[in-house]
Amino acid sequence: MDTTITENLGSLLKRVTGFDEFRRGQEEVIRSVIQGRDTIAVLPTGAGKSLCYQLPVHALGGTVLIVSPLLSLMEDQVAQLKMKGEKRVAALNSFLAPKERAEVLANLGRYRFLFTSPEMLVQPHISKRLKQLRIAYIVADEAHCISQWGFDFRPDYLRMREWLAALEDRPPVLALTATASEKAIRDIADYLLMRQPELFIHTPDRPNIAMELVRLAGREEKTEWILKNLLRWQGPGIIYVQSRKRAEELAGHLRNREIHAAAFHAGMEGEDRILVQQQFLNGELEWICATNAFGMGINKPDIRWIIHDHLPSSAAQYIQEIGRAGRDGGQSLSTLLYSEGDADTAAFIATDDLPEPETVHFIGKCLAEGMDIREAGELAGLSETALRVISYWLDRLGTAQAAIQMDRLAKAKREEIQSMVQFAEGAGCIRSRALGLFGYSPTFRPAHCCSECGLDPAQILTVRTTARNTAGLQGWRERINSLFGVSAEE
Amino acid sequence: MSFDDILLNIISRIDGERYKHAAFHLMKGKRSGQTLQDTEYYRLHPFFGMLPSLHANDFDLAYRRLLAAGLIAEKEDGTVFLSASGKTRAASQGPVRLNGWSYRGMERLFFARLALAVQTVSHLSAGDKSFMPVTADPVVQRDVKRLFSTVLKGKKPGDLAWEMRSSLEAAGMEDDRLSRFAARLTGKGMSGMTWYQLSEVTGISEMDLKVEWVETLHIWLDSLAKRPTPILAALAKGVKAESPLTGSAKKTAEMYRAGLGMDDIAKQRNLKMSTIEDHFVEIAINDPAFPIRDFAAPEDVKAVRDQAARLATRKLSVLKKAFPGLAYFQLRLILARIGKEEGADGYDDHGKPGKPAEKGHRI
Ligand SMILES: [Zn+2]
Repeated sequence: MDTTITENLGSLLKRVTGFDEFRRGQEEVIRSVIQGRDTIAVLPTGAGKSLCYQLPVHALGGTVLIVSPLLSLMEDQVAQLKMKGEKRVAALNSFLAPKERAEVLANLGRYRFLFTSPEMLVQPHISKRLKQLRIAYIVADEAHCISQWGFDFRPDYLRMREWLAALEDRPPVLALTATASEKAIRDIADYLLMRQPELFIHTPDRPNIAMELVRLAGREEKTEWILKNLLRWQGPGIIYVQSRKRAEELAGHLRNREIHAAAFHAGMEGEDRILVQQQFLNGELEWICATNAFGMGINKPDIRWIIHDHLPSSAAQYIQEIGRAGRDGGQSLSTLLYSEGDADTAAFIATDDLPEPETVHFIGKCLAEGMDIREAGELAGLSETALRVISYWLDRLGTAQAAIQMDRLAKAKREEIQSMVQFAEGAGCIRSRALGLFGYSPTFRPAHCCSECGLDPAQILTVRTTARNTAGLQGWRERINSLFGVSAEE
Repeated sequence: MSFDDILLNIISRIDGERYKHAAFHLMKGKRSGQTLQDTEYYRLHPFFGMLPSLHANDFDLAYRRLLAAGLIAEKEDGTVFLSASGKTRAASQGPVRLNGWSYRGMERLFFARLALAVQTVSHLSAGDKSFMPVTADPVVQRDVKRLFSTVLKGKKPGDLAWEMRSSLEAAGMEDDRLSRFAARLTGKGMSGMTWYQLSEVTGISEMDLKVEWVETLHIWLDSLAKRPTPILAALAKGVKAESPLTGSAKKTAEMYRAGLGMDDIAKQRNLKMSTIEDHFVEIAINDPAFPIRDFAAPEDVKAVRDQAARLATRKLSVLKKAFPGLAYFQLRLILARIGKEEGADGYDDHGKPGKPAEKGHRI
């Protein structure tokens, strides 16, 4: 490999981004990719993960193919690259109109960054065109989603393996994620057919996020706690909740107390979801009450407080969500509100999307009788995700083994929740125990560590000064003028 | 007009001859032969495709409200009709200002472009080049980007502000309505309101706000077509339906004109015969020169027309009983041509007493 390139990573960084120094963990990953090695990088949220896939191509030339399991995330990344002035970027996904897609496909070679989804990747005509490209390396973003053990398992992601397997001369693969257990890392290496991958695993510890655990009797007590504390201390912050209904309910309570809050969940129109994010970024909203639909791709550096109103279904999910606080490095707080009943709800939600073994047998039978899989899924009353999971495993394992696999997956999910319950009910330094769930330990004990080590929120949080009044409806002429920063006479 | 009033208006037009689903499919703009035919028969053009993402639940709630208020009722066979009080209420309604048939949901594209253009100008004029776009749709992003190298090039923020103000002024809408409309726009340091937030501030239901918003766009676009201004006209480009035919029916029409028969078209396009029949009904509705004589004898055409007029019905099942020798497809074509020939303009209102007159739609 060209050693001058690897030696001069610093000047490459300066030239491309204008920065003088890499952040911790970035340089090794970038060097490994430039050297053509399969690479797995586990970098905590806010560590500058995207630079790891954005920089090497400037040394290597060609096109980077970034496979992303989430459409919204893909759009965000494309937007962010464009914002930085990168013109040679495109996304090949199901959002595109047929005409648009044809245009992207016709100009594939032009792009430096090409984002796509696993579903697109395996479509024969797209796959064929992609194979003609000079691909510098392939990136699997949010790679933990490929692991069946991950909280975010996306069965479609597994198709990437088939696609990779069909490549004659496979370019190196870079798998990026913020959180992955050992099991998940093994899955990633395996499913992406990696050859002796370089592993760069950084502790998910975020010393600037203090961790608080509050045990309460139930939902009402949680509501009370939230209202009392949010009237006293300022955000901005996110409250993660279990359901759409709870998101609306809490946001309503907060608004009744003159605190600017909004709900965010998958049941809202796309435009409204963007508006809520917009308002939060702008500081027009102080709190977002969100289901786990919120967060991936949100880039607000000064989030000061993450509150969990429910028990996250896995340690990885918990760490990922609290990691959205304090990306600017400022002192932040995460609070887990726990009550005894939470375990059951979490277990119900986590396994809700997972089909029962009997259902697998039923679907298998329907298919054997020549029924369409969609129709069979409808008969069995399966969600779309559940149907994709079944369809994937039926294809590969056959009915009997697929049914056993469902049991295995359900058991693994229950175990993850069990370990979260033990975490929430246990004693001792919360930071150490949370990291312990991944097999890490804290590098050092920060001054504001956790509520078990002694934590005074008053030293971290900012006292709410005045209740802000809610803006009414502006007159339309006035609003148009202020949107454009013009006075009425112009 | 509120959602409930719109629904009442629709029901006043299909009075006793259709089920509630007909109104639902109409508002969603379903491109099926049945819905297109209903649109034509019952003069439902203003409402076609007015709410493409309408949820069945929301629709049902409104429908049940009208039932509970005694404004509508269902016959034994499930078709819906107006009660006496429903008729009074429908007759007292103001004019319908929606123009769904012309825009077919595309008014949303106009708004998405406008919102992104406003946001971009707002941020750029504040010296801010990086912001999160209000629309994630790459097609809209590209449309707007193109405008910045053409019609928006060299323009001052005040120019777009002036165009918007004077064009909205000229469209003759109420100030309150326009304030609610402007509240959805986003700029530097001032985000638009979600429907939920707007509903909280105004006390109007989200559903009614959405209906008003679509209506505002239709009124504005109609007015803009008469008094175009450079930037807004560019933003509205391609929003109005050029051809009244759906894309697929258009293709069928071309192949028919090229001399292919229905069977050939079905085979070549790998489509079901029923789909091709739907296309022909759509063509019969929209093409002034449709050769009905190729499909039915002139005396049959006349007999069916007379019978339909005598029974004051456009119900296929009723007419099929009277003409067992004619196929459903033939009956549909004949009905589609009523008012189209003999110099009729195709838009005379065959309304019954109590049916509100309908205004403002054109193809
Ligand atoms: Zn501690």
